[in-house]
Amino acid sequence: MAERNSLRVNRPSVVDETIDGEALIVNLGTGVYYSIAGTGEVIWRMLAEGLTPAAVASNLHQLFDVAPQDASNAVAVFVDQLIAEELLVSVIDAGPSGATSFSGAGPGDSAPGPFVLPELKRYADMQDLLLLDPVHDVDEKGWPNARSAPLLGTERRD
Amino acid sequence: MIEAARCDPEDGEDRQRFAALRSGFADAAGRSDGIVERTFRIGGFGVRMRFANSSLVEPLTVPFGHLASPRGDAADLNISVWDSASSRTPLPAAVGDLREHHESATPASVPASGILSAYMRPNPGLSMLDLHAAEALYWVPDASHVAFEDRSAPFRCVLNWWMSRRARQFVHGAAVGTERGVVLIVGKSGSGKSTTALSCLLDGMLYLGDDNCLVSLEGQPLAWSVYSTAKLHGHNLQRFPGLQKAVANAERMHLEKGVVLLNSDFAAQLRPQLRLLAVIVPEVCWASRPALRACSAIAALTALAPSTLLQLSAAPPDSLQQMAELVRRIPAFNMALSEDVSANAQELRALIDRLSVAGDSA
Repeated sequence: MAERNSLRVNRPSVVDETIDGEALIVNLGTGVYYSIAGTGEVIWRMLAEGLTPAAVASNLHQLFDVAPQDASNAVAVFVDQLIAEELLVSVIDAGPSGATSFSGAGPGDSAPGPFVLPELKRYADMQDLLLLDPVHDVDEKGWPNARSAPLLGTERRD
Repeated sequence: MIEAARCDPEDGEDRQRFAALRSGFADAAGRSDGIVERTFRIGGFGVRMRFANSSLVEPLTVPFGHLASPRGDAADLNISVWDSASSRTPLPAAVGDLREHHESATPASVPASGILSAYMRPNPGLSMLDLHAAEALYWVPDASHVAFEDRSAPFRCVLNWWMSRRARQFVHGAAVGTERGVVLIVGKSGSGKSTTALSCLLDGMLYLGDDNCLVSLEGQPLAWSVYSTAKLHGHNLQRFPGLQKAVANAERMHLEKGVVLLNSDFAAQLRPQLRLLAVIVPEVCWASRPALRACSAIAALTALAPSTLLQLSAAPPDSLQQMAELVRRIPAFNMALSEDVSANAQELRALIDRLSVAGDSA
């Protein structure tokens, strides 16, 4: 069976949850979190279901009033963003080709609105929570070196 | 929830490292006058802490004083605690490189051995937990240097690992209220959580915590107290002169937040758990009067979840789902905080009255 490149959500580092058509995505590896609403949330769900970018664009064309080429371009740009943020990763897949149909809006989710270019809102204001616990250089007794040790040094800890 | 186990050739090594840390505890205890035991009821579970000697007992148990269990109460989780300096017992080399333990701390899958470990996250010690045996170990280099993270929220790593796999989700938030129920005040550091929670405490309201609580969603949502402490920057502490004598680390407040021990002066206002009625997302705008307005569930989740998840190592994969379920089940409000901190407390007390009446009649 031929191998092919496919995309998948970068789990377990990436966790996500959707409420009322808006997705919260947290990258536990980088400390950055994201919000996606509207068209972008629909695209995210399609990608999470395993649809290829081509299949996502085709479904967008059916769901929204958007030309096939415009849908394809929008998906390509968005997918590049998601990969750059390490929310999606490319994997070699030896299985059958990916899903092409989208399960659609789930119970309780709002129906997609008019097509607007997807927007990934990025928040890095909590990255310091990871940086609170830097990999310290430790001495032979396990106590962090003064250079990087707030306890022994003069750095303020929050 | 059944969590997928990660098959890993390092599983045997995990077990050897755990055994090595446990043998260090045994050696340390062998050099002491005797093991000191304390048992607490945390999140509805019995947690027994066994100290190799007396040096860490006071700083690491005072925050749980309001949850103390009678001697001999059954334990669901045992935590053995020791330090190298007071016991004159070096950390066994077979524990491995401490930096490797740190690097394994984030995030999320559990090895087949069931053993989790974390160094320096969040406390400057080594935490290990054998999930299968409900046995944990905690080691610090020197009991005479207890960090403010340990004084304010000891064993958070171990408790998070263990509780979150028993339907008790650790959340980054303050919980205050009345016998009718509490609100969960969420947001990143500096968002006004502690200031609001302590305003409520000084206004006579009940207090479950200012920074870390447990939430359960079986039946009615409940908030559970873990620590009877509060953390405040020095400049914020000046707002609360009545709390200054309860600061445990006054000599180090130029370096770190002050840790306020609430057990003695406010024991009557501490509760183990209460009904959870709403999520509050504070806004520090210091308006003349506080103002509440309904906010969306996703806005509440965004204020609650990232700061919770990013502070906790190896959170279970369904932690975000648990928090999403919480904000779906109870209402959420933005709260513009007033410079009149007492007015903030009164506003929350009135909200709790309204919500509890509505809940009782539903």
